[in-house]
Amino acid sequence: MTLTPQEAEGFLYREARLLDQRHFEEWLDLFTKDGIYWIPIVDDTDPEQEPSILYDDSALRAQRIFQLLHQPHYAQMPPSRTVHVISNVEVENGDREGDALVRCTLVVVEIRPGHSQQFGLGKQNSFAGHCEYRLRDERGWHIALKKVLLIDRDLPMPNLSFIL
Amino acid sequence: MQHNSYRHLLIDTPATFKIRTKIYTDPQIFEDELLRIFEKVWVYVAHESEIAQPGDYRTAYIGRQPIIVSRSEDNQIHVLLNVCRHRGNTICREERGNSSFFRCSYHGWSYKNSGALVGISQRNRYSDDFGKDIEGLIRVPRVTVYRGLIFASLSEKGESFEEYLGGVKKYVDLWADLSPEGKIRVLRPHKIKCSGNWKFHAENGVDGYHPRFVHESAFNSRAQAKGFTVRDSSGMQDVGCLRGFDRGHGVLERPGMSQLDTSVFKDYMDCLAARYGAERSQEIVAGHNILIFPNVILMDSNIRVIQPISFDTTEVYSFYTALEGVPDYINKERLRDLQWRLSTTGMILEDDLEIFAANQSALQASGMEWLQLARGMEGEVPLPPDGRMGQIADETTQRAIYRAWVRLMDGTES
Repeated sequence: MTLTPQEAEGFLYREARLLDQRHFEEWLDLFTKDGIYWIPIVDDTDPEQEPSILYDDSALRAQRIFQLLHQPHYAQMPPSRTVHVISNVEVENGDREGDALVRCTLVVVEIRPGHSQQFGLGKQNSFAGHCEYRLRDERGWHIALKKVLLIDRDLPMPNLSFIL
Repeated sequence: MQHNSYRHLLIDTPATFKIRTKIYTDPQIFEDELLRIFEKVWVYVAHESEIAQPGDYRTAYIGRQPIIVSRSEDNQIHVLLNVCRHRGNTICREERGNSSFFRCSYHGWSYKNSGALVGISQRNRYSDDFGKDIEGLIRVPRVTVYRGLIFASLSEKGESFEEYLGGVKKYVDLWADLSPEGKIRVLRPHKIKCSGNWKFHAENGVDGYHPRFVHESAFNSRAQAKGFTVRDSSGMQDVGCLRGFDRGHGVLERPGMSQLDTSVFKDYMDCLAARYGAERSQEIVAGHNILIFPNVILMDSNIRVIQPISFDTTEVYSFYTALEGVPDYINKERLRDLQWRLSTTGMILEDDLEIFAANQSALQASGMEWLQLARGMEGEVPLPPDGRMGQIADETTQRAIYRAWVRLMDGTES
């Protein structure tokens, strides 16, 4: 099965909506079992040898989402409101049937409601980066790798306890 | 206006220990801290492995002062002020790199990586004698390397680094021996920008009272995730201890702080035991967070450097440490453990940062004048010559910080 640009956009828009609506458990289901969610500090490093901003396999993703949804996770009390904006979507189908590489740009605008005198609240933040998705057809397209290359990846980062 | 006396900001009697809240919120106090603490005592600047090869350099800060830490071709380590001797331009804007020379971008004055001035451009418009008194980039007067950790002091005089370390030296040695070869390699840091005074980071790195409250959500989530070791955090406050030292240093000791996979941990212990014997290996992995006051915390698998930016903003550079002398899969497991707990998106770290932000917000309530740090004061055990020991959830380590803080800020010797 090949992935059309329209299908790729539909897939990414749906992911953005799930994240913005905090349907995180459904978001987990977008990944393959061995799917990786990766936010590098330096591109093209080996994330098992060198530190990353985030490097989650399915177990760590589930752990993170459990903390977000079901625990008193102070960094998300109150929780972030986000708008995920996806653009510049390009599709490259792989040599193997059912593999596709999707590139896009991502802008996330985020705010935690509250009085702006409270540090961390009441102030709108924006994050931008280039994304690379390795999608695999496993009874429908799933994410084998989501890599977010932030433009400020090697600079000091603020609270990133929401999902980019 | 400088505060003439800092003594009155601390109440330290046998049963009471209080500090004034304005030490976190007063911009002038922050300025004095840069001058009297960061520009005076030994501060951590870099790790030797970051400048492993001749020509390697990295830039950093001592307090607010920009520095270059370099290794020259003769393998000497130099700590230089990152400012051109001509008209004050930044000499090196890169964070790290390799170069034999630094050339000023403004008028082209050139320096060796040792700091020596080797070229004044278009020299003919200067007198023949000009520049003879300018040796090169200004050297930070005192530099030392201890177990791979590079420390520097902007003060010409003062106690030696070993004197400054005092009783915490033993724990720095244990930490360095986490590698069977006594050698580590630091990699690209996790960098964090956070709201909150720098002292919250120093205090919290050696605080054993907060984890079961602040980190309950992370521990519960860890336990919930299938296939991981389930840990009960309610017993967290029963094991381990605190040690506080006169220079402000502290050690929090909590067995099992890192959570390596059981079989990997066993292999790691075998590596250590082969080199150090079983008994010392147990001591090495006892789970130490070591604060070397004022700006660095050594943990099992990272070096956490505290960079004060302003009275209410701090940056932290947290360097993962890969151990030399252990198989790859052990380092991978250590990195995996660090990633979920203490990376930029670490589930432990994020909640700490939120608390610091909330502390800083709350302390704008200047009507609240004093903070309480008396926990466990009466049960402390002296650790001669320069330490005290308390239980894991006491405030021994915070008291050590503020006793040292007041002495330094007051300019009085101990």
